[in-house]
Amino acid sequence: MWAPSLQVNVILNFIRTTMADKKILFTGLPLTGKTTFIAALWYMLYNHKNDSKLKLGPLTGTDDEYLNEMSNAWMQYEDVPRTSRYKLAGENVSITTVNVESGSTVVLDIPDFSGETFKDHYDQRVWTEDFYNRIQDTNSIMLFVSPRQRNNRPKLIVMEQDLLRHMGAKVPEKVIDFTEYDPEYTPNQVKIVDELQFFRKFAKWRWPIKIALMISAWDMIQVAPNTTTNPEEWLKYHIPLLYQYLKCNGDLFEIKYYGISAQGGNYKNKDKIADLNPMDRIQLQEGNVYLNDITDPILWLSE
Amino acid sequence: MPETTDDEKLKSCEQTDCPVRASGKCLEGLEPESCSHFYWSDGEESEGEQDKKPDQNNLIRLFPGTELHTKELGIVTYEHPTNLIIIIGESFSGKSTVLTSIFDMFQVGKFKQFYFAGSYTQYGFESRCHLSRAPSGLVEPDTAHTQSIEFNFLHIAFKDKENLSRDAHHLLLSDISGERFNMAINSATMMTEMSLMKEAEHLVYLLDGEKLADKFQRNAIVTRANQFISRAVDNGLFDTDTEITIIFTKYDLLTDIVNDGTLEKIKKSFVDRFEANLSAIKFEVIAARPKPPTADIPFGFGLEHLLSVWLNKRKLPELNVGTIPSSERYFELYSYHNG
Repeated sequence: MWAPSLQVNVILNFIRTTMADKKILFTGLPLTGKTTFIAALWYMLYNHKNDSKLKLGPLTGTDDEYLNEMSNAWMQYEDVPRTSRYKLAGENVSITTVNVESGSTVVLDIPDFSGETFKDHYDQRVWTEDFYNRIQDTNSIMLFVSPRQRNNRPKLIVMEQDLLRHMGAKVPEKVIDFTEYDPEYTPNQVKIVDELQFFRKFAKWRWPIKIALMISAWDMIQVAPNTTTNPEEWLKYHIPLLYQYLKCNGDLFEIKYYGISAQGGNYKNKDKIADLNPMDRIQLQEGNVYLNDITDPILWLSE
Repeated sequence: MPETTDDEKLKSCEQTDCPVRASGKCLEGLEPESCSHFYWSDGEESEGEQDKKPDQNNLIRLFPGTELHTKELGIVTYEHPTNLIIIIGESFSGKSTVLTSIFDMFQVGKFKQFYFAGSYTQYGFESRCHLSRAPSGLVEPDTAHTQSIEFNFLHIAFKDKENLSRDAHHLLLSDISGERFNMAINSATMMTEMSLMKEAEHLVYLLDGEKLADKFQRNAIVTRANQFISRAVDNGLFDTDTEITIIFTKYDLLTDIVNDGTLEKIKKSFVDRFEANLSAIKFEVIAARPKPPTADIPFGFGLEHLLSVWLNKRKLPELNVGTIPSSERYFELYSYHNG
């Protein structure tokens, strides 16, 4: 069987991307839900219902193996195996879709599946030329954040101690274990703002650009005691620096805030999720409206 | 691929920001194996990480994010009207703490009036903020002592949250060592080299509240402040166009000298001595990290007010700038773009 060479694949990928009407950049720090979202989306596109407004375009890439592996894991209520995730580190994948109503193609471009490259941009203050070239024709962004990450905002000693005092707990008096500064400790919100500032400075985009801000593991937020919130409110209080930056830069970014549970719940309790129709596992909230169409943010970004 | 043995397994964590892989320490302060995010990984991932090291020959250099040297201010001032804020004071008066606390306040969403709009020096802020954060392991917040005897600057942009459609306010906040301040007191040459102070939109002198509260140290630090201002006046750096704000830091420690009138006497002494030489002397109080924070003096007390003052332009004498200055003196270029 004829297998396209690497060069042919590069050309095919270039044609797919440059001929596309719209290109959406998927980005986010490691473990922020990109993989699960893509796995669920891939399943949905493969099994697309007649009423779906987005369908899969021609399968011409060699990325399908990765995508099928991820989607299989999603269907079996399993995390994508770590070995695969790390094989994907640095891998870049793109999926061509077609907007059924307009007939336009929408390329979902994932240049950094693992998110490690995103992290490196903050630490090392460089982009590769490949990354630079790849993002230049981006039309919109899908940006993932995760409430499961404890370092989204800083833990200030003064506030931690205040909290302990209010709880009546003992405030430590001795240095616990002094640790020198390392960029690893930088709160995620700072890294994300810097990446957006890099885009502003180095991406030759038509501004403003649309961003779908995807808060993953949304089921975890909504089942927490005494919480009924919407994605924008959640971001405002839990990742405040990013929220403020986006609000202040309305001339650069047009934002919609989504809460997304692509997994459908915690896999530790997968018996509950397994009773659901696979497509009903996906929960999406925008404002105070609940949706189960995972393509909604993509369609908005491609308008 | 050969199977990994237990000996080859690496400490790893689902939280990317956890240093457990590098140092073995858990981000949450727990024993690693008792943390829900912890896992043992095989050696494959570190191998994979090495594979993806970018080719050093094909790299696009981004802005470094660290503090800006005086010749680098153009990254901000060429794009935006900017206010230069010069903060001076002796060692441990709280200069760097003011800077880090402003950034921390934005990061935890504690300012009532302002939203963070960006910064070209987030990396510089972060490295200075580390000692105020739990991952440092400290139990009392601290600030790294500034070493540089040259003016460096941190940039921050913010907006009034009720007027988000208006342009952001851009500040360049100076960070210079207390040792440099001492040199300027003792040497006319060293004072003259601090001529950038003349370009400041706001000139701020920090007086350490902890030392003011101590009757054995009070006179000495007030005297040194007087010496510094006198030296600057004598060397032509401060004149009747100069407006200086004296900020009493660690206000939570000043209750006694506020109540017995000592603080008012100190203020009056500055006014009496310098009102003929300067345009104005103003006074503010702050408590960036009160111990403990209270309802009256919370964390970051006074900082939001400072921002609301610093966003204003001072009235400068009219300058006749007809052509782009050819001088390479950075502050002349600064003036041109912020005229």
